[in-house]
Amino acid sequence: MIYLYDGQFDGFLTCIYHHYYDEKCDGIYEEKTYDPKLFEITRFIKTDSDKSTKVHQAMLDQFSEYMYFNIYHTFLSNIYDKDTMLLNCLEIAFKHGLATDRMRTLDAIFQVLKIGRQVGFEKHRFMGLLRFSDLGHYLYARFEPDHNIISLLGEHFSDRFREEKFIIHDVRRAIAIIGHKGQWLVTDFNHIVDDNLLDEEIFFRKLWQTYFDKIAIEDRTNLKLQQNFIPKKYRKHLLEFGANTNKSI
Amino acid sequence: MLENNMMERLGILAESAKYDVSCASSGVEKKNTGSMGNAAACGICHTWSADGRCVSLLKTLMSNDCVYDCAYCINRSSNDIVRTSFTPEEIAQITMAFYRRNYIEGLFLSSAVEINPNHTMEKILKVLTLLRHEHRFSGYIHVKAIPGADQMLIYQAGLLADRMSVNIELPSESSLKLLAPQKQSQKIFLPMAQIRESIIRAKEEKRHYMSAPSFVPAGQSTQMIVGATQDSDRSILLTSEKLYKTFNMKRVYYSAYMPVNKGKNLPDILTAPPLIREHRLYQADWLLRFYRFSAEEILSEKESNFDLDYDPKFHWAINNMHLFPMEINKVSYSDLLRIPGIGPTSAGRIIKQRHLIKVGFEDLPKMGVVAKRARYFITCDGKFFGIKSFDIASIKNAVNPIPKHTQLSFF
Ligand code: SF4
Repeated sequence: MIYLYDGQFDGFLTCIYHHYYDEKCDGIYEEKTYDPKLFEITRFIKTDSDKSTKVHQAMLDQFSEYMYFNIYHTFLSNIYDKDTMLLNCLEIAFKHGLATDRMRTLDAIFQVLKIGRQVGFEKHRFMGLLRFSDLGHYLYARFEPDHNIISLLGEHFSDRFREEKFIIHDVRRAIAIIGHKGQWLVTDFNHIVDDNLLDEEIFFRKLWQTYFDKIAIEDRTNLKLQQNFIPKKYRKHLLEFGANTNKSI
Repeated sequence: MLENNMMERLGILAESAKYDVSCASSGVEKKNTGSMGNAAACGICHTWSADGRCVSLLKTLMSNDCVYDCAYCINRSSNDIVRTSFTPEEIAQITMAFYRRNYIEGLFLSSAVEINPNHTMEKILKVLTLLRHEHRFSGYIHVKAIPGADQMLIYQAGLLADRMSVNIELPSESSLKLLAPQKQSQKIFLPMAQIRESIIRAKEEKRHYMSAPSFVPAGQSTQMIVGATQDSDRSILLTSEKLYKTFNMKRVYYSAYMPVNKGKNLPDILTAPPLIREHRLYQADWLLRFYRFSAEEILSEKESNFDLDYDPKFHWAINNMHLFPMEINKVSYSDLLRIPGIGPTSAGRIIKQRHLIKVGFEDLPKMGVVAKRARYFITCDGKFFGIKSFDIASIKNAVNPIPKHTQLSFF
């Protein structure tokens, strides 16, 4: 039996609920992207917040914070099988509770820790790599992460920019964080932000580029090392790597 | 407001600051208590420059107009270069503009000694006051304490900065005399001691009143230049160890000397910067801070310099083969730390898991152990996975075979 769901965390947790209290399943997939296999029987599980809350609470009660975050991070990953991997991991974790932390060599656990780490890593990377433009009324940043990490950035930036209005826009997923006065939410977002920049914005962008060029020590030039830290795919929205100074990034 | 030669001045002053190596913004975790800014304990890199270094802070000098004449420094008074300065307002403005756009994590402000130490320190303090009070900036700020400046100025700066540093510049008194005669080591140690005292006092007071002001919560650091003088690696490491112990330094940074000046007491201007040596020093520094090694153990009296081909821990292990192989399921945490290929994280994981299930060789990669390094030094449940001949030369060669191109010689 394969459970299909709407792609939201609550939906996934509802599947877990059904797995335990209704009918055991062998796999969980997001309905939208599910690639049907011959002989696989599927069933769509409707999100039910009572059920998902119960599972969620059980996770908080029984797992370490470390394990919990790795599970959540893995859920946000762009890996096709992630929900099924999580199912396998949760079966062990609900059996062993806190002792699960000591079982990192089991494949089902190790996979989740590994992917969780990658997602956490991408989040951390974008805490540094996001670039905001001052568009006059608000700060605007555009980005294209591999994993669905936008919700992980909300707290950091809304604290940091406590008195600003800001938008963080995941262009590929067409969602955004809207933040204002320490509050924030994630919402669908399809607006095209206009490219008329203030002089001051252009000035500081150029100043940043000047700064960036000057701080490298020529005798130590090491483009390979630079590339390891900042692969090409992350450079698109970065001024210092050639993004257009006169357009919003 | 936006003066047109700001671009040029930032170019000059940032370029002058680029040899200052401490870029880390890590060490404090703080929420926004003002209007803008917070700090993450793990440190955040915002980009990487062409030399592969993490860019986290706006790192610049306030001024490069120096009254001192340190032999190794591009800004020494006897050099004929363009002299320029920022006003405190300008620094604060650029910092805020960069920070809002998430270009940077904060500011690292240093300066040449402009007019005199007090004048310079006053300007640095002004920047701090503007950022903290006027802009209500809560992000990370690291400033230099200028040796010779009034204690009161340094104290006030410490109340507003996250980190302060005084550069020791060179690893020994004699080297200082030779290359920076205007900087006596006593003058350098004085503010270090003052900062240490103030940190201890502030922590003590915080224990009694939550609202007591903190003093450089991210601690103090220092930096020294490597390769401008004859000091050995061993004497450098011993100096670092003393700095950590005496002043509770958070970090000692090492900077491979880049010849920028000619001088009779300096290495030839064409000397390549000793980058590998610098790298080995950083590795050894880690051993001091996180691996419970002492400087004496890392480089004993018999050898004063690192083997550039092998990292210091491996080098130590090879010289202490009588301690190996160690049984991974038995030895203590501190002993695990001494095994090449194992670090604090993987050692912690091994300890955690072995209570439950014995750790086998195939588990090691999942624990984050570099198995191809560790295998020569361990047994897993009594079994040895290294090479047949347990001798030093074969292990050395297996870990770091001499590359082909150095074996061939064209001359
Ligand atoms: S005091 Fe600092 S800036 Fe001035 S010459 Fe010495 S090292 Fe250079």
